[in-house]
Amino acid sequence: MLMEEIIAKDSYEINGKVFKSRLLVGTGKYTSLELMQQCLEASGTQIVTVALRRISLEKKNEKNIFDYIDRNRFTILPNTAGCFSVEEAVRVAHLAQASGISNFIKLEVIHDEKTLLPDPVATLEATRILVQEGFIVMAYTSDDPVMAQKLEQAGAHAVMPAGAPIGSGQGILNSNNIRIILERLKCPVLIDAGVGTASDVAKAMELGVVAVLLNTAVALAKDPLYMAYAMKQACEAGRLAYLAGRIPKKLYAQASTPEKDF
Amino acid sequence: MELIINGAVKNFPDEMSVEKLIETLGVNKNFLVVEVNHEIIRLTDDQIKKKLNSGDQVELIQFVGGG
Repeated sequence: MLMEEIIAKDSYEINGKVFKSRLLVGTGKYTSLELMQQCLEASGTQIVTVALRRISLEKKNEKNIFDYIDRNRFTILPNTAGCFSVEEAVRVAHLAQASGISNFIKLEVIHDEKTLLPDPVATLEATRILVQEGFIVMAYTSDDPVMAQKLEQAGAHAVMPAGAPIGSGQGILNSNNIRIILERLKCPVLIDAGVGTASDVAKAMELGVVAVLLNTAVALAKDPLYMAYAMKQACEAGRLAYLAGRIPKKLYAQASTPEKDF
Repeated sequence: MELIINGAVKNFPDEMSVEKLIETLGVNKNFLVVEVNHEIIRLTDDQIKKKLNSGDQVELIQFVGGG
């Protein structure tokens, strides 16, 4: 089979919905909505995250983000970014649902503004509530394997440990924890946050996560469009390397050329 | 009448409904979400024609870029 066919057939599911692109891309921080639109296209993504905020009363008939996102092409994943409590996150999820745009929710309950680290206890409680209410919950969490398991038990449809703090660009800080999470969970596991460049995406995919969610690494790159395409390639390369199965690491050299019979 | 819209006090000479308010403010209705006194008002419901009371807290919320 041609490699192109293998890539075309490779897919994963979240609550029965099939996705081929393993890159989820955020829509924040771009210098313009036109650039965002081009980057989404270049990344090959099928799922894009959006946030909810109060509208500006000063700017009449302002362009909306959905004037730049084709809803027939992309699955919209509203987030609860900026929520610091269970109540706030549940409210934002309700607002997102009321808009009629999606039943998916990227659940994110943050502990404090300085670290933007998730509040695992509040995230767990909000997961229980929103799953009960029929949301498709993709829960952003820390890379703690115990919490990841608890979120799965609470009914999360996908668990999304952070590679590193949001927007930090530090990559995958604890790949051992991600490996443990992957061993223990049956639901889709995605890396969300912390990616800095293409090699971080490749490394995440090589670990075996089903997908990677990123935003800042593309939006704030010197050339976001180049980076969006680089992320697409890295994601596919990492996925193929995972499927191929890497060689084990060894302490000593092992010649690749026959050493005898000169 | 006086309404608190997205946290700011605004005065209107006439009576207002959610529908009229959206029209008056010139808000882009593309996936707009409205709350009145912490209750979600669906734009497809007849509720949007209901008269607002002075002092009502109205939240007009829309999607923006986010990660």
